[in-house]
Amino acid sequence: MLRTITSLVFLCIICCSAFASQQDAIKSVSYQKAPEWVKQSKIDLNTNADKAPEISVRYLLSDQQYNIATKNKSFYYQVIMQPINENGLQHVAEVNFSFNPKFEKLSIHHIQITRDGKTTSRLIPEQIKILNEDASLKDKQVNGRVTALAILDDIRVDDIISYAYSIDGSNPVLGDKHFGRFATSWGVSIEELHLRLLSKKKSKINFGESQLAFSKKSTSSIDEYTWQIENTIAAVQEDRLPSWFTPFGFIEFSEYENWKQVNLWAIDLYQDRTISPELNQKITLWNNELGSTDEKIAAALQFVQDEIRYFGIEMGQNTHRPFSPDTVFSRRYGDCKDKTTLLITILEKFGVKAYPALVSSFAGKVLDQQTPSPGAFDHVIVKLEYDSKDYWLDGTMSHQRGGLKNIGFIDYEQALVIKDSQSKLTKIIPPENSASTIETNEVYHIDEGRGPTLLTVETTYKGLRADSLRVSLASNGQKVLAENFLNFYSQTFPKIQSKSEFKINDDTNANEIKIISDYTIEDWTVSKAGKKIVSLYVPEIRDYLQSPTTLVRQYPFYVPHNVNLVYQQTIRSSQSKPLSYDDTGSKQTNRYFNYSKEIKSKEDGVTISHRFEPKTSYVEASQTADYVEQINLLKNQLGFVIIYPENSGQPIKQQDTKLRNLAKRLLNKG
Amino acid sequence: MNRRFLNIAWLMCGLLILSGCATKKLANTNTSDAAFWKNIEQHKTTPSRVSYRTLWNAYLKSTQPEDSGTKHTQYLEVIAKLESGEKTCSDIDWDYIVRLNYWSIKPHLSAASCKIELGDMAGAQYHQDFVATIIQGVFSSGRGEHYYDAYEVASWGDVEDILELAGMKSIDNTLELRAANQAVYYVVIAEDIETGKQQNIYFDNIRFMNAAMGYQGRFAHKGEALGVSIATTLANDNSHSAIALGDILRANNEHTKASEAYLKATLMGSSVAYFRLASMCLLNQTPSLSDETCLEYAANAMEEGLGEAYVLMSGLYQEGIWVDKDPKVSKDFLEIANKKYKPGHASMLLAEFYNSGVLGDNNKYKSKKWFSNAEAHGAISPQYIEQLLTAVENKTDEASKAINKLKELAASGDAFAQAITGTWLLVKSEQESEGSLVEEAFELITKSATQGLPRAQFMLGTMNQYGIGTKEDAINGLEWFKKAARSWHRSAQYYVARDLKKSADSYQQSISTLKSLKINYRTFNLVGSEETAERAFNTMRASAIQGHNKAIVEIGNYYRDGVGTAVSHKNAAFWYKVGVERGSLVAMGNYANLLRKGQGVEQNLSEAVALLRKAAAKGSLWATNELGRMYQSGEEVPKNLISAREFFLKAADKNYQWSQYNLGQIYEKGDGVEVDKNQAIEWYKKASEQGHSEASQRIAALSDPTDQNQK
Repeated sequence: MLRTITSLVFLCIICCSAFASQQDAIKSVSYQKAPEWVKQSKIDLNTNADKAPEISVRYLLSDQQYNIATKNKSFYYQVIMQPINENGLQHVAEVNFSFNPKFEKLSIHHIQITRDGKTTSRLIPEQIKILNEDASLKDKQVNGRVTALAILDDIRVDDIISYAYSIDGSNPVLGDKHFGRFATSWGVSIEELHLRLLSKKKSKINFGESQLAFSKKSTSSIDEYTWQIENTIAAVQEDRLPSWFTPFGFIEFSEYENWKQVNLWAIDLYQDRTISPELNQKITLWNNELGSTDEKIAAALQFVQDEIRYFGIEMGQNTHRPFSPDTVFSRRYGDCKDKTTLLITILEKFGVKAYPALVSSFAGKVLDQQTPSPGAFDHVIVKLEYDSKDYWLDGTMSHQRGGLKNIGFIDYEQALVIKDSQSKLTKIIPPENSASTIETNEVYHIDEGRGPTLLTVETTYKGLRADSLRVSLASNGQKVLAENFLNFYSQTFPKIQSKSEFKINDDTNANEIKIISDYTIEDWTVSKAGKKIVSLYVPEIRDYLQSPTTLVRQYPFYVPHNVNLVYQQTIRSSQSKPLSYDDTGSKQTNRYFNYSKEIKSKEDGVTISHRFEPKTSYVEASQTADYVEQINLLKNQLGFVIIYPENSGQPIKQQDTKLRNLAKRLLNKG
Repeated sequence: MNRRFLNIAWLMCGLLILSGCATKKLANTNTSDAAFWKNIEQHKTTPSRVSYRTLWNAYLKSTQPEDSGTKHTQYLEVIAKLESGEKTCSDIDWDYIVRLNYWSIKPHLSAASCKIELGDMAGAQYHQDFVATIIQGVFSSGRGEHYYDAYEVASWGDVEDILELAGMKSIDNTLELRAANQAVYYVVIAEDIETGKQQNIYFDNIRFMNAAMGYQGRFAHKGEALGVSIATTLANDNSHSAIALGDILRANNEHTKASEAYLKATLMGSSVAYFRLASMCLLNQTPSLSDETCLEYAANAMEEGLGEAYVLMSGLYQEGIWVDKDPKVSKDFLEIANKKYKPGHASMLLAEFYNSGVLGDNNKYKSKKWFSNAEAHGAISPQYIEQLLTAVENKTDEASKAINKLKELAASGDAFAQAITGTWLLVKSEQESEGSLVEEAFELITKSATQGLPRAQFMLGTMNQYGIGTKEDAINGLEWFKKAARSWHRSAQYYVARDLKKSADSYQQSISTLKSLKINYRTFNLVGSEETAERAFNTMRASAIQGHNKAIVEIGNYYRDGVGTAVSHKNAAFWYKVGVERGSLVAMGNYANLLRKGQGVEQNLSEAVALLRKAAAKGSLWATNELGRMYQSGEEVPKNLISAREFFLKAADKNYQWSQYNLGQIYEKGDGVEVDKNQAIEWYKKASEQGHSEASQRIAALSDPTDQNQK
């Protein structure tokens, strides 16, 4: 819904990237035969496509090979594909190769086409274009990856296209231990999937949770692992998959045996605590001016979040190694690593313990199921150990308020805390009452037909919701928010108008933003047989009750969560008491949410209170039907109808008894 | 007045009035307002000298009912100020407020209470007395139990006030369309707040609507589409119109659309709409709805307090429809319904549900059982007995039992029972030649007619016209026809229309005579007026729309000849075609004539001949003769004198004078036969005996040897 402002969390993508010039990039591309270590696949190209007609491209071969037996990692890849209809042509006519010229070399072995049994080369080095992948600038990161792009002319249906390339080298910051993954299933079936890994003899390879059996051969210096799968099963496409879930299969391999080794790798990267005189001066100022440590921590966090602009230059080692704190402080920008290190440096100066904590922005839930390697993480935050409690602070957030007590909490679920002797992942335990809350209090003053209904809405955002609202207010302004509110209500009440200025009160200590808005609504009640029928609904909660499009499914689905909703609607009539309404409350408790509805009648009106607390971020496929049933049950609770007598003037009074008796007698012909 | 404008204005007026906010723009004169206030003043000083009828008629003719919605709002604004303390009783000009719309009772009552507060007891008394006058007037305008004895009001906003005054609350209200959707009634399902008893109360404002249009008759509007237009236009605004729309669609077997209209009404809080949906479910008219949904509809109607819904739920539990059978629950629901109705009425409703098949097929036995139960509690529906009577026609015992019940009911004053019993007595008197039964029948039918039952009024009219059970009195008979016609009795409308046409014809004749004598006809007090023909047309059309066979042909003739309307061969053809479909021989002939001339339809001689042959085969002598003429002249069909003679002979044998005359002509002129003077004279004689004047002249000529035309 419109009023819910999406939380804007800047994530710092730790990636294998570095910055390189165009010239460097061109020099890093060569055209030569596949290296010796590669074992080339030979497949029969004369087989006929035996594919379902909905598939537009047939994949005859995917051959992925890694060589980590040498110091530098090498990766070889060959694919053979055949467009089988017009649609398929656009999928195959462009071949691109992505790599990082700073520490990787691309070598294209062949691009060739087999038409009517005749194979011709289509590799024309002069026509290969090198493009910077600068798209990530949008994420405020400079990313040095480039793409070598070959556009193939004159490709026809039924041509068989084969290309092969290899990439040699890896980011030195990742150390001597290698890791990677093979993709084992795609959205379409692959007729021949060949996977091969070469490693140093007797080096321990951690295959994580992969169940796929390999065959292993060894020579005097090398272990060779191979997998050969025919007609792989295409991954099913389903909607609303949770971020941590992928329907595609893969095999991870890693020379890191456990998380302890990853910690050892990382610990060295976060050692720099260089403090410039300016930074020292700032810390001294805080130390002198702020009384409690709580205040100092809050001030430092606010400084790192709001005054260090988010911007990452992830060049070379700096993809994983933060810049020195004094550099970050002086140039006033940095990415997650930079902000984390600066914050830790300051916090340590306050005498509190703080550590970098590597997290995954999308797969935190299943981090412990991943094969240990630096590749499991894409973000780093600060773990603060203070006052016998753990706090998880994210320097890349902005406009967070509320101090340590009321700060909004983002649940990354698991983290690798980088400190001495750390050997395991740490489960992040959400602090009590950490869920964000939106409390809405609507009061409808019904004016008995002599004027429009007055609606006063008080909406209170707490926790992360308050943070996001601050971000939105800072970027869009109050006017846009007021328009969003009005638009939201006009969906229910077409004849609604704003009555007075939007009032916004930001209590930064409590991390609560309260918005008060007033409206007038005309023509929204229904009059019938001397009754005024007033119907209300709670679309805000309904928006959290979303069923997936695919109901018969194999995979779990995401459900909106992380916010508790309290929605209160009060209906007041200036003239009369309601004739009737359903005053039965209700409760619904299940594995997905808690919901309650209470209806209270007071002298000045009737109040309906809905309370909705989501309990999970996803629903298992097997629970789909149950979930849909539960949300439908809840949806039925969100409406409320109350009936008032229609005002038709003064009620018949006592002195009119004679007339009433006369009317009664006449009506009943008595 | 421009007819097109009239129709649109009428519709708009109707729509606004039905919404309860009357806007009257057409009738307005200072004199009519002055007359109204003069009557009010006179009523103030000597109430006994001015009847309610006089006041009401004056009110209808005045500008008083205009913009009643706005006026009511003005009153509400004053009350709001009074209640908020912004104004006190002495600040308000009550005379001004009540005079905005004198028939609105709330302002009078508020004025009375303020005047009591101010110590003006006489002033207060006047307002209370005037409210008493209004409610006495309204409640004496009918009985409010059926459409034909509906209470007459101006706007439906007044209805709510009157019912509130009578201590009733409205459970729901609906529009009931009658007389092929020409008539719209407002039905309030009202519950007595003290006793909890429920009843349907009928209201009617058509006379006000007619007055608003400047008509005094009932058949001012010109289309059966009126009801449909109102329902369709207002279905989005109020539930009663949405229900009416649903009813129309359901009657046309458009079940899906009907259920959509009812659903719309439920969203506007209508319990009746839920009930209608549930009954559609039970009659398998909503195949897409699940049993659970259907049950929910029935339960919703019940929860809204609709008595009928309790009875239906009782039936559902009794039969195990949509629910598990549960006699106890069934009994409990019926018990609640019993408390809402007069004793036995709930059982009667249940009997009717069983009888109509709503609670499953083959439940006639259960229907009878519940009927007996109702009867034991004194609730008998004469309509139900009538159905029963038809069903048991051949079983004398059961029939006489039923008749005895009817007689009892008739004696207790039930108009419907009186009419059925009267009819039955008439039939019996004919079978048994028993004269005293006729007098008894006349007495019962008079009682029923006096209570307003249209069919009794029509019967009484007929009895007066033909002197059955009373002395022959055509004028009195016509008066009863008029009363029945106003309640949409289609046969009565036909006869009234014919009478009006006669008046119109004689009026036109008188005028043309006077004009030819160069006498100013305006100085004469002639029967009828310029509008008489138009009234005849409207009334005949109303009857035709309701399916009166003779009226269908007659309205075709009116269109053809331009009686009370512009000549329209297209409309004439439309109505003749309806008549043809219903097997009317006259319609066949008249439609054939339009086909022959290509008037209002494309000329089609072969269809015309086929139609005439069909009519002739069914015994139309006119058509038989016409076919003879066509074959004789050879202008429209190939000349065939043998066929011509055969057709003439067929009709002549049946004593049809024109065919006899035509045969005379054939023999006289030797048209396809040898000239045969004697044969010719023979046929002329036969025609002459039937009153054919030309035939008489031909006889004389043929018998006169000096006549040059002998050959």
